[in-house]
Amino acid sequence: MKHQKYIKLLYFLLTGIMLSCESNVELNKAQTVLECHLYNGQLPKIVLVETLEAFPQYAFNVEYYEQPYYINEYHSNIEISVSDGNKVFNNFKMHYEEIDNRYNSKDVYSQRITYFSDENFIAEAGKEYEIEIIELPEYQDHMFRFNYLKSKTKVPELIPVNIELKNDPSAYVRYNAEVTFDDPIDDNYYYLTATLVYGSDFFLMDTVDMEKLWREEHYSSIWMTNLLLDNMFYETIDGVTYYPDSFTAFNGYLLNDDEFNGQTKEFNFDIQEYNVEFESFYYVVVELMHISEEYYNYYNAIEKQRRSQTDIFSEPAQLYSNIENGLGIFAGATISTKYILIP
Amino acid sequence: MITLNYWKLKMNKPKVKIIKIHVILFLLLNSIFFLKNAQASNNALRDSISIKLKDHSLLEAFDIISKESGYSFAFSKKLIPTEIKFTKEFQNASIDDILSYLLRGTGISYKIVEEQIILIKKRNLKRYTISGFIRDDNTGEALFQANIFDKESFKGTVSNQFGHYSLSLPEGAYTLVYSFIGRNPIEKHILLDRNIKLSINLEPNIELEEIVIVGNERKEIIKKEDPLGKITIAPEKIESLPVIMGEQDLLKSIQLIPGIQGGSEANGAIYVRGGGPLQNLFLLDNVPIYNCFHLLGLFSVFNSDIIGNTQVIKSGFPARYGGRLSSVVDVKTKDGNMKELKGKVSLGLISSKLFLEGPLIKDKTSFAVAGRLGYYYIYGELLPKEIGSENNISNYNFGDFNAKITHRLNENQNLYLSVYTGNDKGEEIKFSESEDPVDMTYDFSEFTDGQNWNNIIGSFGWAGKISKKIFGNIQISTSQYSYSGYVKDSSYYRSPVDTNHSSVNTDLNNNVINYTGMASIQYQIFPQAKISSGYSYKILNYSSENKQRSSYKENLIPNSHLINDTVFASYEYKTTEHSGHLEFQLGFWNSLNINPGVHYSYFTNESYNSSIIQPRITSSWEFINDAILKASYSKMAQHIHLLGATRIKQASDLLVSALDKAPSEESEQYSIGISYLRLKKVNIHIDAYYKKMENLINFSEGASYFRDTPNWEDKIEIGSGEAKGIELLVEKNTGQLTGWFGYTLSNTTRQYENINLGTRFPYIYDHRHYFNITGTYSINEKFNLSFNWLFHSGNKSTIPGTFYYISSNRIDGRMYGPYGYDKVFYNEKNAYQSPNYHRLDFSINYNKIRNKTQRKWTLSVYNVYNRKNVYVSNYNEDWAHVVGGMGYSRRYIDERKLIGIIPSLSYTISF
Repeated sequence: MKHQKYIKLLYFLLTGIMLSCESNVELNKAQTVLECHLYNGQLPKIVLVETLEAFPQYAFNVEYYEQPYYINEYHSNIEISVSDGNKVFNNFKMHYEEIDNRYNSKDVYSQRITYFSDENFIAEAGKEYEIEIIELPEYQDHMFRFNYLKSKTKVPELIPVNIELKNDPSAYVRYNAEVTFDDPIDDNYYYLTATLVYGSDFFLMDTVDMEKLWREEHYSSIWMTNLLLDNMFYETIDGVTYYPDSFTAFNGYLLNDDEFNGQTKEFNFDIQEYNVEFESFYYVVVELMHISEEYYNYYNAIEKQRRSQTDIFSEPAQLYSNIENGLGIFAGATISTKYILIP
Repeated sequence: MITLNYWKLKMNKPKVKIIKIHVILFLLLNSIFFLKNAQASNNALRDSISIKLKDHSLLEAFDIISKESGYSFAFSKKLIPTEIKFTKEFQNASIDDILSYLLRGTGISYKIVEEQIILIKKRNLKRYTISGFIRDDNTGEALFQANIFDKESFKGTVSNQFGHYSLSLPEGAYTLVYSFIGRNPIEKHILLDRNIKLSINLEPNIELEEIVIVGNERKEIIKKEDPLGKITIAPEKIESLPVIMGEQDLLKSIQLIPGIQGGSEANGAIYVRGGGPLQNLFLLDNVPIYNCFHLLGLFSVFNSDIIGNTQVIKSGFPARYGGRLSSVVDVKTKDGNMKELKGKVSLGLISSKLFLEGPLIKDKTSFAVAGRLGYYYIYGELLPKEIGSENNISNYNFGDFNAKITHRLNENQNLYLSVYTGNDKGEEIKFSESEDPVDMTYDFSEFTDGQNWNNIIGSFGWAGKISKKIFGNIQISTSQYSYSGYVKDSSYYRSPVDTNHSSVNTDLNNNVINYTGMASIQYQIFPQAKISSGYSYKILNYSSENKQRSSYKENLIPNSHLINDTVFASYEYKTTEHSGHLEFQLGFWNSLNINPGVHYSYFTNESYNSSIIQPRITSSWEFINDAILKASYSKMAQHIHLLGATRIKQASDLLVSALDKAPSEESEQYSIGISYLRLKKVNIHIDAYYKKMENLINFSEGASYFRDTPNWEDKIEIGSGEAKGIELLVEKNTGQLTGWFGYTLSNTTRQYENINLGTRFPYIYDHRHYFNITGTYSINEKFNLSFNWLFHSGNKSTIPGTFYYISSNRIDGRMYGPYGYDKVFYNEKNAYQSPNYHRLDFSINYNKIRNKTQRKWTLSVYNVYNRKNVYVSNYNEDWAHVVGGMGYSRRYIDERKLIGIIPSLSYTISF
């Protein structure tokens, strides 16, 4: 073979480069998901689940919630500890909660969600927390396992929100609401909702405790309208109308303070005329959640993903996570709420 | 050591003896020769003689002089050129006059010492330049990239786009070879004793009946002297490529060359060494063209009938090119026949063409016009869905027109005017209508989806010699591109109590207008040193308005007419660019060539300005005969971005200018290659490259131009790209079966701070393996078969592998979204690979000559085995097809396919 050496050279060149190229990522690799929100003054609930295969061979319900909780059932020997720098909370117990889970507006199913909580662990604003979840080695022969999940976050300080109603003489608008809050100088993130809550004449007006109704989530006895949804689907700047980026499917605004750092931020929205004959009261409930950066990034990514997942013209969005060796979120928030009765 | 040296000395002794004997013999023979001549000269030494030379060589002339004058000649035979012949009569001319005449331009001087004339090589030879134009003998057209070289030393040059060449050599006698693909080479014996103008007309080496190249006449894709990354495609080479849909297509053909890749089905764009579609500079007669595709990319705007030479450069960019990062496709149109009227008519099922060329004033002014009309909307409808595809393109047509006029001011100067206009138009209308006589309701809806785009290009210029060594070119040009897309969705409902009407009209517009003035010169300093320089000034205006108007009216409700206007994108930019270049072409020792250069551009767009120096260097070294090592480095920049959905390339993608939030794109490419041409039947070329690109733009995650702010610059990310790979090309250029196979192993990635969590991810068109085999088999002079099989790794997509439900919100009572919104996917950007792409094209040609006309039938089949290649993969949920119980359905990867098998027939007559 006269040209054997060249053939050999070519072979080694091609092989070398082929080996140097990255291989494709394994798509359906199962992962552990940790979800825990630290709301100021509340008992944090830690949920652990496994990811599900996106394209299983068998038929399944594309809408109904069927998140299995393998981890709780097969991996009971889990050590969870949360530290705030001074104290360590490690007395986490497993709990169950039944939630309504609807396939459609008629069919309501209940589903049991398991979570871990420590009754001594109440999240506090201004504190930093670090979570560690370890699975003991002797339980690693099960079909799925994780070794070590870790994350940290901070519960932001309370930032009060204010609301003021003004009469609006226009034909279709009854009131104009002005919501304001003061943004501190450093980087801050928020989630704002404004809801019009109205109840039937089943309620006696004098006995309505809106704060209690709202907190205890008596959603079955009151109706709600998302005021932000009604008012801010379109925005106009310099005469040009467009869909605002910050609107989210979670019924509120997710925003950072890039545009108003250190200033007073103001929102305006209209409260339109409703049929007052059938309802006994109208309340506007405004909630401002001062959230950690991780909280913002996680839900921002989810919202982007939601609207782009099946839209071929949108850029696909990747899931944000601050969990080492897993997916999910460990984030903090402090909520400021205002209730205003519409006269 | 001493012993060893002793033996060496001892061993050398016999050699010394032999040398001594040679010297003695040499002296003896010279003495005899000298004595003989001396004897002759002694007989009669005359200083004035009469001689008659008739086609005599120098040696013969010396002999005649010697006999007549009595002088003898002493010289080295190597010194005397043998090819020069003399025909002249001298009457009583002095020896000095005769010798001065004969030795003029040979670089030889003489000295008369007694009876002997001693010829010696001159020291400090003067340099002279030979220059002129190289044209086609039949048509008078300028030949671009023709070779001119000295047969002995191989020192040479190539002609520029106007056919002009300039070669500086030391005074002397030379045999110059003029050659060009498809033309008979010519050898010219030149006595270079002054600056010479010599224009050459090269005859075609094929007769009319051989216009279709038969197998053993295929020329190389990469020539020996081509710099790294450069490919020259002559029109004859395009003719020999497989026919796709009834005609050869330049851009389809170059996708068969390693390093140049197609994107996906129905995406005509090309992707060169990991670059994007707008990183390729397409030039038509030096004018940039912004969308060079027809019919969803199945045809290019380059009509093969009027294409002259084409250069494709993917690395080692000459300094004169700028404005794009990844490649240059420089297409020149034919000047037109200066001698007689010629033409070609092609009739096909998908498109038809007409080409005419001829003299307006014989040997002075020529024209060339080419027109093409596509009517796929007729043929596409006829194709059964089993053959085509459910989504096969239809309702689509296109047309284009080229014209060029070339006027020779004199032997050395030309004026030219070139014009192109092309248009694409496609529209699909769907409607439904229903009437219920019982309920007395009527329902009507109509959906229209259409788009059209057009290019208008014009250039006017002068090209000619400024002095013996300087060639110049001045050109003014314009290129205008406009795209318009529209979707109209309207419905009407009528019942006994109510009537309502709704409509949503979407309009997408995108326009680019370019005006350019440029001047360039080329100066041949020495035969091995050439300098080129140039300047251009460009005005480039962009405008776009993408908007939607929705309207709703219900008669039952007074004042219910709602109109909402939404703007997706709206911008207008007026930009300018000054650019200049300086380039040297240097040769050393006949085996090493180095071309250093620099391209500079200064760009402004309102407050944004960018000044970028782009050094370039390319070199080649023939380290052994026919084995050439090549290397290059190029820095490139571009001030234009393409912004579109990354999952699917569309004609509506926005052409936007560089600005503060989206700075000019830059790249650096390092490349090395080897050409091994020592094998008898095949040539082997291997290139490796590494390219890094900066300031690439991409929509932010979740964004599209149908959403959010109309300011595109507020919904993009700035990032970088990296491409590396190795390309192999093996060509077989002889025999009945000719062709090549190409293979590219590559890896292309992108990285943006806010995309894919900042980690590097594969580019959507990161084809790890790209392979093609292309061949032509000549059965006889009348029949030939061509085929092309292309295989490459599938495109990349973002498809989720796993997901979960955000359950904690249900027990926390916060962030509780509508149904279906709390499903979270774990996507890794472009981690999913679509099914591999492969396709076989086949064509058979039948040629017949009668009465100086050529008739050609071509039957071609695109995608012979009807492979349904995927052009986009996407995640989807199928709610319509219930599987199992109520609500049980499926999630699936939605793989969209477009083009199936397309047979085609065409008939061409050339006269």
